[in-house]
Amino acid sequence: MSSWSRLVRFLPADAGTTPLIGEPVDAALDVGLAIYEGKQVEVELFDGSSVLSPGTKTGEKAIVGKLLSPVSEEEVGTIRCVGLNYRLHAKELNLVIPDVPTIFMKPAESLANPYPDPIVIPKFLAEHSTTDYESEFGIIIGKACKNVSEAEALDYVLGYTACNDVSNRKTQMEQSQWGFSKGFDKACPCGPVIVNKSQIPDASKLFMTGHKNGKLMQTSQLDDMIFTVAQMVSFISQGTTLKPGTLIITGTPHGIGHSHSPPEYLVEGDEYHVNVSGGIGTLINKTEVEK
Amino acid sequence: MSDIPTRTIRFIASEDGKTYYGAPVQTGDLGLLYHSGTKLSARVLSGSPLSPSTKLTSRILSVKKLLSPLAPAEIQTIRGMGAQYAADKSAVPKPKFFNLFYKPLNTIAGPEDPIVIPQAAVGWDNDYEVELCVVLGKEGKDIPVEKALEHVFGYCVVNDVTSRGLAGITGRAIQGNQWGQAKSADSWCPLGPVLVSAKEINDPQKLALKTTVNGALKQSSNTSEMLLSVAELISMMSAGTTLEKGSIILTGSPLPLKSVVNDTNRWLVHGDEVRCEVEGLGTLINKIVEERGPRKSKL
Repeated sequence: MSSWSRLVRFLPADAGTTPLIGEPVDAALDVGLAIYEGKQVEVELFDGSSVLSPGTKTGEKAIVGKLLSPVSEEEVGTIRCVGLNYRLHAKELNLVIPDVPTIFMKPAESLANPYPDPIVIPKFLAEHSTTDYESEFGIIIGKACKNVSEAEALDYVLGYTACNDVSNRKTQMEQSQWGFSKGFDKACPCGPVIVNKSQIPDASKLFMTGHKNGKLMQTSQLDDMIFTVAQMVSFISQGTTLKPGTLIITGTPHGIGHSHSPPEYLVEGDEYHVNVSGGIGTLINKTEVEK
Repeated sequence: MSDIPTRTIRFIASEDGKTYYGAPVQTGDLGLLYHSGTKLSARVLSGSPLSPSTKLTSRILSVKKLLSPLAPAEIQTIRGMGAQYAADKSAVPKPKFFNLFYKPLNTIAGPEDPIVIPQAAVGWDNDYEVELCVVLGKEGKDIPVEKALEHVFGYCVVNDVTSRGLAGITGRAIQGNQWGQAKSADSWCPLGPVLVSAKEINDPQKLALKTTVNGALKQSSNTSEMLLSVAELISMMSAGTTLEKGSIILTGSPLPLKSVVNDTNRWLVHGDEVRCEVEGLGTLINKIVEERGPRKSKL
């Protein structure tokens, strides 16, 4: 097993159809932004087929053809999501700070890849587009955990990534549970890389931004999070086995489209860029109405 | 696929300890037979009943342990419905919207498996919910209502075990009121005892369903009381969303009996035996075990 700082899951440029795992050669490169700009991203190949067991460096290099989410739909299981988790976001919505995390879920089928894969507005909602962005910090579990304490929780984390909890506000308001409005196909873009937790000992020091067509919509240091990574992993694991590959998306800061006057929802052609520091980089997706 | 019998089970064989899909030799309510210690056996299927290439073999094996009728990996996504049975359907308008939630795969359990109430949920108003579980055999998205039942492979019984307290429904009010931690504990989605093909169920809207706890009747209704039919649920859930083959839908649970609603001692506790039964699908029996020990999360 070779050690690694950052990994990407990708399809190689030579048009192979088997996803591969690699570590970007340039440790400082924003992989998501580079792909978006058409720049070449070179990686050192690993012999494993999953970030959960990447194996050993083969000694060969490869060029990224298409970026994929760090974990696959088959590995991720049901995505765990933390509701209200940023203090300033609570303030903008006039909500009290919760004392326990609100937990909901997105199905595995909602997992989506970075650019060029799109944010999809479902056909049946095309006329009412109230599709909204939510920049989120993602945790990927590396070791099966259940009933873990806060002190040991980080032992079970594999690494971190960026996500967009794409949500449809019209349908969200129509029912009490958020499962439908946040669970459409491709409503959870994730990536562009997974950063090893060893590189980020304290996630609260990271910064996250969200830009819509180049305009800054969300910005926060992660110290504005109400619950820490350790608290969230510990809490969610009580009574529930979180298997390796489980993705936990951890809430969004203030500045969602819904909170603007007029609202800044996403329509056909809109781009949303989620950037997280610490080596994670920029998760970019362009909005498309499903045909 | 035409030679696959309409009732299938998944089980660990006594002969070699391996897991198989099979067609039960015994007829009748397999859940009751298994519970009473009757030795069950099955004709082995070469694979999952959902796969078109699966064949019925001539090999017969003994059932050492009955499992959930489908393996968790084959299911991938469990979709559930919020309350949608009415005591008097004619008095309630048909809902245009519905409450969709998910149960993660770690919740799947089989007949006779203990339903374990974790320390975090002990005392938090834990409840049973007998439901008709729909198993999809054909993938679909934006499915029109009139085509919805074509996507159904079959049905089984499910108990959507729920902590009403952790859901913010009783007791402690939880901001955001999302049910994520209230339905997702390990073993909180027992399924079984058999998977019955849709070919055998003429009309999913004509099935009696009931729950007893320690022999006392707690829920008693009929799928005719569902406000949204199975076909309507499939159609609505598939809007903008691919429902994959093998995924299951928990179609909502009837209201408890009035006598239960008024009972302050109604919640499930250690040692309770829960039986969930759906007409034609058998009886799913599980016992409650409360986890002991100190709570590990400070929240």
